[in-house]
Amino acid sequence: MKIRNKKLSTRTLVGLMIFAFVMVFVGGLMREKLNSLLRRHMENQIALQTSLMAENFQNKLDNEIDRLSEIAVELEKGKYSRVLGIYSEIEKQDGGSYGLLRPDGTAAYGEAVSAKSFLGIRDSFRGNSAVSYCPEEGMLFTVPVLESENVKYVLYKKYNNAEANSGFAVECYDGKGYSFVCDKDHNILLQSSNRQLGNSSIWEEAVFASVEKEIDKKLNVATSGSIFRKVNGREYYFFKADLGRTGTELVGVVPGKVVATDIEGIGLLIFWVFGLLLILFIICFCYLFLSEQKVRESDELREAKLAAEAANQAKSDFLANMSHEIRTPINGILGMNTLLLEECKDETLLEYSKNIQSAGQSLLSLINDILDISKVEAGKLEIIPVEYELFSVLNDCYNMTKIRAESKQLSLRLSVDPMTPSGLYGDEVRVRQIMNNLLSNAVKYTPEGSVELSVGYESDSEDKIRLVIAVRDTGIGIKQEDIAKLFHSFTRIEEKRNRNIEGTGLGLNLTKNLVNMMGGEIFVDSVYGKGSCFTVKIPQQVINGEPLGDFSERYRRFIDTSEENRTYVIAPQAHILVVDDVEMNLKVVKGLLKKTRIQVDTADSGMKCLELAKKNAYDLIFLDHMMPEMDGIETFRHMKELTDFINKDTPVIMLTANATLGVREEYLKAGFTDYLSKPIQEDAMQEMLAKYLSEQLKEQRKEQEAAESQTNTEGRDTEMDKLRELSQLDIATGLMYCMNDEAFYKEMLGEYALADKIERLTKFFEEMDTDNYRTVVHALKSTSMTIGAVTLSEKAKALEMAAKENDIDYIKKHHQEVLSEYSLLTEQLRKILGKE
Amino acid sequence: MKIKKNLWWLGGAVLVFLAIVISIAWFGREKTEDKVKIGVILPGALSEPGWNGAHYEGIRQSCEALGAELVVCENVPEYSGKCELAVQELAECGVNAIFLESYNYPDEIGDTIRNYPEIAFYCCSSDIDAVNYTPYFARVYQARYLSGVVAGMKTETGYIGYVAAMDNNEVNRGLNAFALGVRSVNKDAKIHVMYTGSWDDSEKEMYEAETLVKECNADVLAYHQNRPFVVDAAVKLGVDVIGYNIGQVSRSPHMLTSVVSNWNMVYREIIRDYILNKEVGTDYYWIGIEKDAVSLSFYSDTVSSEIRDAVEQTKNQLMNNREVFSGLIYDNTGAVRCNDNEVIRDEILLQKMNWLVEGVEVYEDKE
Repeated sequence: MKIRNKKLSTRTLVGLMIFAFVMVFVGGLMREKLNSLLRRHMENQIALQTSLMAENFQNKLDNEIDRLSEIAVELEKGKYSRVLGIYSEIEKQDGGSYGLLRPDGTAAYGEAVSAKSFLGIRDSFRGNSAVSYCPEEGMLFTVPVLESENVKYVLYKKYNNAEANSGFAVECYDGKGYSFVCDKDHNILLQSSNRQLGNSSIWEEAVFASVEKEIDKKLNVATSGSIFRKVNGREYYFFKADLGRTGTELVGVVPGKVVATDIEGIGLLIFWVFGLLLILFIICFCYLFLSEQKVRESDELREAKLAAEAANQAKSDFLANMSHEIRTPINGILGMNTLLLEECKDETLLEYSKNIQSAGQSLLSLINDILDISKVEAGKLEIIPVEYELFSVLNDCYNMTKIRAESKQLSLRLSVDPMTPSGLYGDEVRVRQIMNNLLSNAVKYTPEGSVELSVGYESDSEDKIRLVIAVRDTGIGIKQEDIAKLFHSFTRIEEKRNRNIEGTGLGLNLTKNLVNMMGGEIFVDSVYGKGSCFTVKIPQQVINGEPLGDFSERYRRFIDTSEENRTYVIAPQAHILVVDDVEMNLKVVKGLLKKTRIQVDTADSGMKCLELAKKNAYDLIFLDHMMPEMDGIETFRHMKELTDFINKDTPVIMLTANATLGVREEYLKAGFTDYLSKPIQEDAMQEMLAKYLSEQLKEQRKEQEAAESQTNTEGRDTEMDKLRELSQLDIATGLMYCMNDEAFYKEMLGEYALADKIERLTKFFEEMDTDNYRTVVHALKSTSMTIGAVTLSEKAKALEMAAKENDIDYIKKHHQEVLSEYSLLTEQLRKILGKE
Repeated sequence: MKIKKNLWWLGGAVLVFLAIVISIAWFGREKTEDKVKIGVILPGALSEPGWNGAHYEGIRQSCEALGAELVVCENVPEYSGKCELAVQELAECGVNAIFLESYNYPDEIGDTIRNYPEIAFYCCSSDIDAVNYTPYFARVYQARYLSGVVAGMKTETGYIGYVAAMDNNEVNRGLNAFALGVRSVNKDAKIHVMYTGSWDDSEKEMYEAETLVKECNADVLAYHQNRPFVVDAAVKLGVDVIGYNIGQVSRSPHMLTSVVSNWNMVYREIIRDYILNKEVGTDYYWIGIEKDAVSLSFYSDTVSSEIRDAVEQTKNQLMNNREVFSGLIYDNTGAVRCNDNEVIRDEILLQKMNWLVEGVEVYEDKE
């Protein structure tokens, strides 16, 4: 590790050096580029100024010509010498002299001027005004003077060199620059006063020739041009402009420091910024290198973390799967137990049965908690709001807790704000769950004293309230430092002290998650040793603003009526159809309906269901969802498509073990009248019957009467002995699943023997249809277990697992073995039971 | 593996470095300016000798030297309606300036010129006035004056024939200058002129040349036409002739000399001024012998050194401020057009040359 670090640091150093080198190089490049850009800008500016100077110069010349033309007009009227004399007097202070020339070159007034020296004279004889220069003699302005149509004289005004310089030379940059006007042969005609610059070595042929060549290139496309040059270590801007068609040019120079001081400042500023950026870059670079090193170290940690997370995920998946798997047998237990509770008359057995029910219920709720937690962790838990009656929620929670509280000799008090709205819109199931969790926690951790549930509300707006649920107990309380830990999964505080109290530590965590998902808050207030108070606030919408009223009074009334109305539907005329692929489930339903004396037809597949429904008119149809080949929804769709279907208006109720919320809406959308979740609870079943059977069919009787009508005629027979001889069967287990009712057991065995799955198993096996194969093996597993064929059930289970994981090899290996064992068993059973 | 990784790193660094350098170099790069497009409309073919070829060569060389693009429309006769179409065509090409290479074009398409105010038009005629129109020419009359000296000294009969295109300022100016040149060395010589009414009519030109020789006893011919048909006729008739716009090659000893213009000189000045968009001193271009814009191109062997000296002497005077149209000048009706010690100004030369000098007679065909 040490060696690696050292290596890294040398690499870092080399990298840094390269980087710095590159940045310095780039910086130099940029400086060069920026300078040339700034210079180009200055050149353009100076070129512009030069063209202004040239224009200004032209204007001066034009003015002079204009004045001369005015005089020419005067002259054309005659009296030449007098007019010119007057003007000469007037303009004496300007300098310059007037004259009048004839075509033959002689002077009519003033002195004669050679047309060879001043080309403008010729131009003027041709009728145009002109300006011309002669390096030796100065500057001449000429205009024509006409006699009738032709040019008679040329009027001139002549300035000698000194006068021309002071009057027309172009002074630039406050005299700090130097300029001159020259002809094409570089004869200087006019020059500005800064002669020091004018006599400088920059005008030497060697220097100026290349400068002029470059400027002339620019003059091909512009009226003026300027270039930057360094001469003898000093910076200069040279400039030049053409002066119209007089064949002259304006040339000049200005030292760089005169015009470009501000510009230099800009460059300096930019390089300060660049330097700062460079430093910043280097700092970033170092930081990146260091953090890269850290990242490398933390890679191992991250891998470990990933592994841990994967393990955790596997655990969660396992938990979720297990919970699901466990639910099925519990459902069986609870279903059978319900039948037992109804039919068993033995007081002791009833007591046992009640214990089974209570233990089973808590197991189920535990499993549900685990499922919920795993859903929350996977983010799959959904909040499904419905309309609900607050009273019914409170009633149920109160009832459930009351039993537990009474068994611990705790007093349960309930105080409800009578003004709380009665009809709310929210996730009823979750509200119920939260309330139950808090209450059962309170009961669990309170050895003596009381538990108090108070319910109120805070209104947010007209149709929105926050439901406030507070549960106060006189229990063991929570230490201040433990409160934070309270809501963690699987954390139970003070494990040692509470080891006698059952619990998984899931309840509060789930509660908190649920409250959060609904947008609510949860608070804990606790005094260690004295008791705790949990307060939950959940936002809910108001559907029915009518106040709840006095809860206790309403509760009393409700109890009275419900006690009175606890009736069974008796409907001997009613004819219903139950469809489920698992024989066992059909048995359970049949058992549950025994008391109602309803005629029950059963079908173990979608196809059979359709056949029966075509033939017979039913008052109600219960249809299982999960079936092989044709599931409930598909079957239902086929039914709807039938024409002249006698059961067109028959209510169809979906049976489902799929407890997911939101499924209900899906079913209703598909056209089902209602749905009933498995395991089927007797109350719920009764409710369905009461709701969907027509009144004419019903005879409602009290429980007592219904019970009276039961008869019990069962005895031992010899078949049992034969059954006991079968090695594959564990009669005790089988009987246990059948409430120790031998007759029922035999009935189950009969069903088992007749419901031959061999054909289907072989078919799916040959087609390698693992999905359907799995469904059948699953059914085989559970029915075998019910009749006590434990080994077969286990083997079937192994096959089911293999099918689930698509482990074809395993299935191929063991399929025949299971099949032969199964067929042997059914054959023997048929023989014994005489069902052949 | 490690070396490979380092190579990648190095390659990436080099790429980034190059990108920075290139982007800095790119930044602030000067935009190249669009080239100026110049259009030319010629009455004949650009390859033919004489007027068309001389102008095309001059303008081509100028454009090349100044970096301008040249678009040419050739074979566009005057008053054929084609000139307007040619202008439209050139405008669609996006030209900035159009040179109309025939004297009567502006008269034909005056309205069209005003309809394209964004295009600068140039032509040798001064007959129209528009904001976007500038007349230009070489002072060809100076060279004609010199050729007049040759003709005046060469003639033996004292009669000189002149085939002129049409009665306008340009033609009359050239004819007058020629006549003044003849009479400056041969006081009594007469110049007979016949107009063809066209710049380009071989039959009529040859016919008139013949007529002038046979009917008027002319032994030297001169002409003002686009193509040298008169030269052919003269050679056939065995009389001397003065060429016009013919370069260095003498076709026959009878072809004494030729009046030429150095159009390259002229166009270079105009196009450069256009590119620079300069304010010009005068609102026309008229460039003369003092700037080498016109001259006589060669002498035939039959031109004696005496004549050559006389021409040289006259040329020196013209170069040194002597004007062709100056001093006492009568027209052929006897009226004074210019007094002694006077000069006729350019404005009149360009726009009011509707008279002929003393010694010129228009020969009316008897047919």
